[in-house]
Amino acid sequence: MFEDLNTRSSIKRNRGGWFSGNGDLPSHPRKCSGSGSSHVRPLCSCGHKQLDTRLRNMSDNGTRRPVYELIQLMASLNETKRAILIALGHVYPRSVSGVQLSRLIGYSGRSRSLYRGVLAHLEQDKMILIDELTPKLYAIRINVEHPLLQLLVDLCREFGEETRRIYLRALEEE
Amino acid sequence: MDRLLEHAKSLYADRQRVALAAMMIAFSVTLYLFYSPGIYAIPAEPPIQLPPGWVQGFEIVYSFNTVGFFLAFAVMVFMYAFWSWAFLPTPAVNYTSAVLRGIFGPRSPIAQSIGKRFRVVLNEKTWIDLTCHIKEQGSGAWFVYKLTSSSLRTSHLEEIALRHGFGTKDGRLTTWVSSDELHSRSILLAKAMALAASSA
Repeated sequence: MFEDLNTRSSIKRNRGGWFSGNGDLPSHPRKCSGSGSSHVRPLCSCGHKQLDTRLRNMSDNGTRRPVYELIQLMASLNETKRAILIALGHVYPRSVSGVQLSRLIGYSGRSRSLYRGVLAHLEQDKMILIDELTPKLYAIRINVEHPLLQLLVDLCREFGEETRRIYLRALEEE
Repeated sequence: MDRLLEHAKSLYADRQRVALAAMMIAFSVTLYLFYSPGIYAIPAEPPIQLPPGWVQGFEIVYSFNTVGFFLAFAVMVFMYAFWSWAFLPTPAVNYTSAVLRGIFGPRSPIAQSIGKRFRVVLNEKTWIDLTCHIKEQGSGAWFVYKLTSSSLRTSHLEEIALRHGFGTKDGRLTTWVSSDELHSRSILLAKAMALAASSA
């Protein structure tokens, strides 16, 4: 099970490739944050050309690797964590509070136990970022610096327009 | 939750109840044993002028009997703490080792040690340590595991950790997993360790 997986080369390739930590991708989220207006505009046009070429490149063998890794990562997480990442990935430029998040993922427990358990673990694994706004109010968002979640956010922006609208509508019902 | 873990959970709750009941009985028995033979007061001046009844009461409280009683009580509490730290209910042990054996096969030895710890030895230099928490303090989740790899020497550790959804600490991959993730995430951890070994 420990045969050489020919990984060194692929890691190096990815370093310079389209999915390098701080590459061209996250430059546009700030510009096109559709943060919370009730009618959701179609996603930004800025940077979409780059995205298209990147997705076309994904069909090469080398760059499909992150997709595999993303699937594997999502498959390894339990329901709650998966739901959190999917929800946060869709609403991406926005951050949500604990109460909003527990509503988004259909969590029945108290949001405090969510913080102390699942969210703390996800934060330790650098998948989400938690900002403390006030001692009782936290802003939770997905970590777009994460190599695989960056891809997830990308895919959600590209194909998840309708789902995103559902999530955002759920957020606005106060 | 797995059926074995459900069983372990109810077993643990039952045992906790039994331990509490035993402790109450032991508490009253020690109380009786320590205060019935006679009071050995620690010689002391009563602090201020008190009525004689108060002085008597003070002597009972401030006595070797009380010291002994507190020691005995501390031993009981310590034993309870040790019991809950050290032992995992058998069905949970069975679940854990069945899952690990299922992934790593019969040839990787799995050692269980006191303190709810497991170690899966993958080869001479690499292993995975698991620590099980029966009930997590903050969230109240049952059977949460902390996975830690052996120390890995590679310059890409951060990157490998990120791409498999793990954190790093002191050159090791670490993560917390719930009981239903134990299977899938141990596979990922083993894969990440193999990657780290081959990219060293």
